[in-house]
Amino acid sequence: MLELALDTRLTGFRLRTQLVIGDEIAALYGPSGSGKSLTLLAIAGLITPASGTIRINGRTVFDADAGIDLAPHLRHVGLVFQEYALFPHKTVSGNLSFGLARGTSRDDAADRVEEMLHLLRLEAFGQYYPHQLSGGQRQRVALGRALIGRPEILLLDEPFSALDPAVRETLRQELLQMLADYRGTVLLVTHDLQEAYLMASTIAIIDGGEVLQMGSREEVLHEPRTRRVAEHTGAKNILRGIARCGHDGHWDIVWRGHHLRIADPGQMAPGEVEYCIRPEDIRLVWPNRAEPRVNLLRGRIVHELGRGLDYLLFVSLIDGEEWGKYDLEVQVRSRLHDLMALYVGKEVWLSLPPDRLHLLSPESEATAPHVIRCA
Amino acid sequence: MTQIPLSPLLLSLKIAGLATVVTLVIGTPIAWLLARGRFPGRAVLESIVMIPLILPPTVTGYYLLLLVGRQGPIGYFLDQTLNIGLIFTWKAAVLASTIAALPLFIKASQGAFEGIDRRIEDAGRTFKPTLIVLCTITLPLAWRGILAGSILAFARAMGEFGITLMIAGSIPGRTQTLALAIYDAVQSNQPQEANALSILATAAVLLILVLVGRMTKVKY
Repeated sequence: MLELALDTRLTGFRLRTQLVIGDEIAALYGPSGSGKSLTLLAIAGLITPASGTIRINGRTVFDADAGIDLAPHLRHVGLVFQEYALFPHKTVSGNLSFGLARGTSRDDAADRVEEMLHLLRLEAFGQYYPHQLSGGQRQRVALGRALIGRPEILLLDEPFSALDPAVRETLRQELLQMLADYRGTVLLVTHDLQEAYLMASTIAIIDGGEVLQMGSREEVLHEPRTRRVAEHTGAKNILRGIARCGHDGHWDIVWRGHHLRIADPGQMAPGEVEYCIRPEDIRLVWPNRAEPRVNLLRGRIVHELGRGLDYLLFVSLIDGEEWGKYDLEVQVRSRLHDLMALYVGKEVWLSLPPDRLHLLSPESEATAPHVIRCA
Repeated sequence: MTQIPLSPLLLSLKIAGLATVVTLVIGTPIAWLLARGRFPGRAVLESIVMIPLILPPTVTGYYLLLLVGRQGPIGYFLDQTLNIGLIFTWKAAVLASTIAALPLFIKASQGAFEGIDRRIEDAGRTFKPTLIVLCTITLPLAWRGILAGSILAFARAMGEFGITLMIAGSIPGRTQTLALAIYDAVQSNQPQEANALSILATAAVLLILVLVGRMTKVKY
């Protein structure tokens, strides 16, 4: 359990993060320079924030007002650095045993190192130096060094960024397997949304030094709260329309002359609103089956990007926009692309499923709309 | 053929060796502070440390003479309170060599400290107190730079002339080091002795360099 509330200014950058994480794997996801790594360093005690508190399992390790600032080695935090930061002059065994608490007896230490080498499947590499190991092996040593002292919190700073994309996938699964027995809080920092989703059950999106949204991985991906979150999670189609109460008692959004039905809008007020839909949620509809669909739009493909397994189509609505601009970004699987014989310039029918259209809240809380019931 | 005078060489080795040890002890913490520390006056400290490298040795020697001479504030204190006579003794020669060697040593080892990836030290600090990290991570990683600095320091100390002359004089058998003895031999028109001493100095320095080169092979 990690509770953290920080506010600090570091060389022209303001970090304001609030997090409460239970004994689970949580990901801190954001672009580089968003303050993710700084947050980790603050938790580990390697930088000192100007104000705030950090509690680990109810134990206060940092409290600026009370003047508490526990030294890093007293916080029971394991930290795996981006490039692993192994001790180059120590063997694998030497690196691992450095992670043991002082006062561990020699026999006990040898046993624990042996046990960890076994767990990491590095039994034969105890006497090797870090430079003699592969990237994946180094990562395992770094993980073992962080875990051998049985920390209450494990911090992982972009653990896969130093590896080839080819081995990343297998190593992610390996890491998950190794962490399966770990009972404690794991905080993973990454700038890869897929990685965050794959590894973590909870995702916190951080940008500009503050947490924009935190929730279950599905929630963050499919229910972005604001435009900034939507931009960070790849909900590429962010549309601005006018919300109005339809004649049948449902909310409609008028966008580019189309009345779009939206399911369960939650908070809503008449007037200008922003909403989003993910490129993979927009359906391409066969022309002969178009009639029964809701939120049906007709457009023309103005540009496409083949990405191997799928295509990105850039579609401009048919009712009069100049070429080159597009209104919607649609992701289709290559197979469907071939089946429908799509090409740039072709007219297509699109359907925006009402349950996939997601309303975005205004950026600032002050202008949040009050709830108004329709009908 | 005159007898080869060994005493200046031995005296030089003794003084340079002691000066290197003192330089190592004083210089390593300063180098670490300059490489890692963020404190007010860091730039000032860096400049002060570099002064002996830039000033003419005789000027440095003159300032030291004012400080540690019998009438100088430090010299007076040493003489009266601790009953240590410093000026014109071998101790003054050690002081002279140390002052001359410090900037070279500090530059070399400061670079070594700066070359260590900070995250490696940070990783250490998440497991052990800073002092232990310093002894088991930082120093072992910086030791090649520190050794290089020590060699430079020793070489500089062996060749020390100007500052030594100002505060230790050139008393044969007591403060007349190799460099001073060679100068003396040339001045008193004894070319054979000057030759012998010069060859000795060259051989001694070369031998040390070879030995150190053998010692510094590393496995990682």
